[in-house]
Amino acid sequence: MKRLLSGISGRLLVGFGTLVVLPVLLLTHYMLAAYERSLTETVVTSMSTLANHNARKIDSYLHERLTDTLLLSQSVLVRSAIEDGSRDTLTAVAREGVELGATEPDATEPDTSTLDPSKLEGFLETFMEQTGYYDVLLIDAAGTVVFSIKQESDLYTNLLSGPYRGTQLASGFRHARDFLTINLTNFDPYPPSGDDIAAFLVAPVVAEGRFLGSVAVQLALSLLDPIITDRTGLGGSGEIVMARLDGGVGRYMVPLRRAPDAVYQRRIPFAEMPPPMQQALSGNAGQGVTYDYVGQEVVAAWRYIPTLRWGMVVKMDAAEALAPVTQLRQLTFALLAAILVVTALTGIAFGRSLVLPMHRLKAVTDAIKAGDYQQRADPAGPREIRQFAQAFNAMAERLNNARAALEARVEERTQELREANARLQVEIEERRHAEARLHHLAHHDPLTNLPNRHSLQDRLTQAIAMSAREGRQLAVLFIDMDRFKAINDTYGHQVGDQLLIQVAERLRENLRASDLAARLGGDEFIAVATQINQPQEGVPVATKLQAALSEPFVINDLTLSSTPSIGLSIYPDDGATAEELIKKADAEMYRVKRGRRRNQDNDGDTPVRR
Amino acid sequence: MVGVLHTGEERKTEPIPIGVIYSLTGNMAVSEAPLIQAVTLAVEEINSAGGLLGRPVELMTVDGRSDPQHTAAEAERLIVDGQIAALFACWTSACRQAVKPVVERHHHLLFYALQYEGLEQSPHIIYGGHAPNQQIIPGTRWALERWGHRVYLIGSDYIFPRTAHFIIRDLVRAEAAEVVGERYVPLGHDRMEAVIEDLERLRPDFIINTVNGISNLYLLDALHAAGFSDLPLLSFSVSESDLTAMEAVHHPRHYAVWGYFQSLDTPLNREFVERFQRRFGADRPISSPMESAYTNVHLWAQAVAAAGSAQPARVNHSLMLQSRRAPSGIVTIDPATRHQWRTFYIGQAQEDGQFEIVAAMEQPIRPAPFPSYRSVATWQRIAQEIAYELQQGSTP
Repeated sequence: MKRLLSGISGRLLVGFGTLVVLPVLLLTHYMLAAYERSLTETVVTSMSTLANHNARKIDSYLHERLTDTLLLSQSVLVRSAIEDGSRDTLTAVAREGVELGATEPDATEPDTSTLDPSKLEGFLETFMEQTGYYDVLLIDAAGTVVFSIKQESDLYTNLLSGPYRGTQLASGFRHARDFLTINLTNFDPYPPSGDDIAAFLVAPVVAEGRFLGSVAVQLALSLLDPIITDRTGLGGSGEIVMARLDGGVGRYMVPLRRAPDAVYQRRIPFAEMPPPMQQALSGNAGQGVTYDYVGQEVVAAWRYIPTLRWGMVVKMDAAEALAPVTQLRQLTFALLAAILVVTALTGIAFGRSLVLPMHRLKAVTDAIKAGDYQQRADPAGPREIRQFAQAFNAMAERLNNARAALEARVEERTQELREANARLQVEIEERRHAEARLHHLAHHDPLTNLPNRHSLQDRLTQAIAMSAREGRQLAVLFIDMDRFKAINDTYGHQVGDQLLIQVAERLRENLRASDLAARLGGDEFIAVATQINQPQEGVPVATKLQAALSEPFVINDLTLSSTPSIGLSIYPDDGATAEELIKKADAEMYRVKRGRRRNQDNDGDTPVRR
Repeated sequence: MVGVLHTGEERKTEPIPIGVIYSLTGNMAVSEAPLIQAVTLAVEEINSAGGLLGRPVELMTVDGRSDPQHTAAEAERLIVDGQIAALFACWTSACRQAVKPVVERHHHLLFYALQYEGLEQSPHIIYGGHAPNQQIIPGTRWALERWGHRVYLIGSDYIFPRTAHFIIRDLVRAEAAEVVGERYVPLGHDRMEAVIEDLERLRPDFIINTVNGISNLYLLDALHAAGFSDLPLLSFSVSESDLTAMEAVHHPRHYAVWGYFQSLDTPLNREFVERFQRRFGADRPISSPMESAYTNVHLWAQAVAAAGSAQPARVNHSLMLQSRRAPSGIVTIDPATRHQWRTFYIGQAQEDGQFEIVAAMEQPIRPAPFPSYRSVATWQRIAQEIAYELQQGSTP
């Protein structure tokens, strides 16, 4: 839901729902409720009218019967029949001693009668046929039934003391006698009529202020059928229900559609009767939507029928009565559903028309983010989004251009940097060469390219250290070229220099790679022979060098000869340091030189080790 | 549109006026005044339940001054000037007969709350009291069965007692009993010496009393003073209101016949009594005419609601077969007679001014304003004769 609401589509859907569906729903609800209310009111009113109509129909019908009976009670024929009948019965009882009720009317001879029985019978039979009564009975003042058309077992019995004293007829008779008023008894099973349910209209017969007896009209329950079964205006589910109350217990007096066997026999406590019937039996009139005896919702009107002391409920199933509401509701809901679908689809379509260009825009953005700067948005969809896409494209274009320009500049700069680097490298190289030359110049004699005195000092010290480590010995040879001063002065110092260069070459050629050669200055050279194990081993080196340097030097067209004087010192015998060893060798060379001068005649003294 | 709505609104809340005329002064005031309270209670109940057709009911109360002619004039004034929807008026038959031509002339509607002699049926009156067959006949029968056959009749000298006595004579004759004496005293009369003389001379088995109004108090006092307190007395117009107005109830064998007694022990009646006494005072007795007046207002209201209109003509039609569970029992308006189906009770006067119910007819009785043992035409002739006799009697 949250996810749905976070998107445009969802929001649009909810928005459309709120804008369209909610007002429509509210309006529909209001209209339906108003319609239902108005229809219910109409149906209830018509039910009420029907109830009034039926109540009046029953009342006027019974009133007519009442009037019939009253007329009967006031007719001279009936009056005299009761008087005569009463006399006849008494006569019959007295004369024949027969039991009351066992005597047939024909069996008696009315000796003092002024009435033709057939005339009365004819009159009453016609009366009965016209009105649909079950029976007409005449009762004398003492309560004896003296006449009956049907001639059932009640004839000639006494209603105050006889077997039928507990019947409704007997109670009706007592009421008529006591109150001189016509009355309608309850409908109850009447034993003489085979326990068929019957009521009696009993009217007093009075002549000259004297109570002569009563006329009773027997009504079968079925007499009310035409009224009760008249379901005019009650539709398919309507019915008229009648019930009465016997001391807190209700009885249905008409067959019920939904409980056909409930008529009369079933006794239902008042509290269990349906609400409209309870109201009716309580004497209250009313109408409304309520429940019937099987709990069905009904539109009903209830009335109390005073003549019968019955409650009447005229009702119709609410489902049928209010069917138009149900139909309208279904139709409305269908329409509502259609509106809902259309709204939802429109909402979704709108949402998509907004969201799709945005999705495309986002895809382009993602592509650009991933590095594809050539991607451009498709300017489609609503104007705002189109403008947005165009603006976006313009922005992407500018960004792309800016990026290309930047790259070109970076490339340019990098090139410049690379060139500067190369130049720097060359400079560094040159400097290093210069430094090396300087270093070489500092440590070598420029003329012979042999290490100079300063360099010799270091190298010799190193060589001493190495020999000391290795337990070896080392020979230092001090060489001085005789007559050099003379040559130099004679042939120029250029020749002298050439000579010195050749001396250096000869020293290099005759020394091992591990050995050293250096120029101390002037015509003084030092050779160091390393890796000697005996002090004597220095002598061959000196001899070899003496020989090599004693060879004539060819310089330009000159062949010059110069003899070297060589002094020899041995490490560690002649000293532990370079100075000591050089000094010793120097001293030795001088001794050789001096010896040679003394022995000038002696050819070539070989320097000897002392 | 605004104007239409405005008038609609006005019409909706405009009160429905009803006219009430009972005597607040004169010899009938003691009996009639409480009926105004009964009507007031019913109207207040209707209004507190939302009124009628959304409109409140408004009482227009007028003093009848115990004068039928004055009452009739006031009734006409209320109908014409007051535009009342219904009229609730009259205690005596003399009053009813004076107002009857007024309501008939205006096709209006009068609710009469008293038990009366019958023999009348106006299409513009609802007879909300008891017809003779609902009070006089069963009451007399009951007395004849218990107290013997020698009856003394005493009544006020006007139409009700005269007609009632005629019917009582029918019953007495039917039982082979005997009216040993009969006397009428003028309404409001306070001299009972002649009655006492009659009783001392005739020594009846019991008295049937149809005296109305304040004279009942003088009669009861005179009976007590003359030592007739043990003589059975059956009254048709003595109610709780009259007993309460007396200093003391001295007549232990005094019985009254009514369609209602305050002591009626049903939940509905207990509630009614409680409501009435909460509104008007715990010491206020409720009589049968009060119950009738109260029930009549409610029946009228039901009919107005059913008709959807307060127009007298429409309500008159809608009133037929209206029924209601009233404090006295189920009350229904009988369309054939315009009287009401009603129960009846016989009560014995108690020292506290109440009646203890000693006999009752459980089922409501069909009203028979013209008792059925004579034809309506015969009764009408008899009524005319009685009226003629009264006229003759009143002229010296």
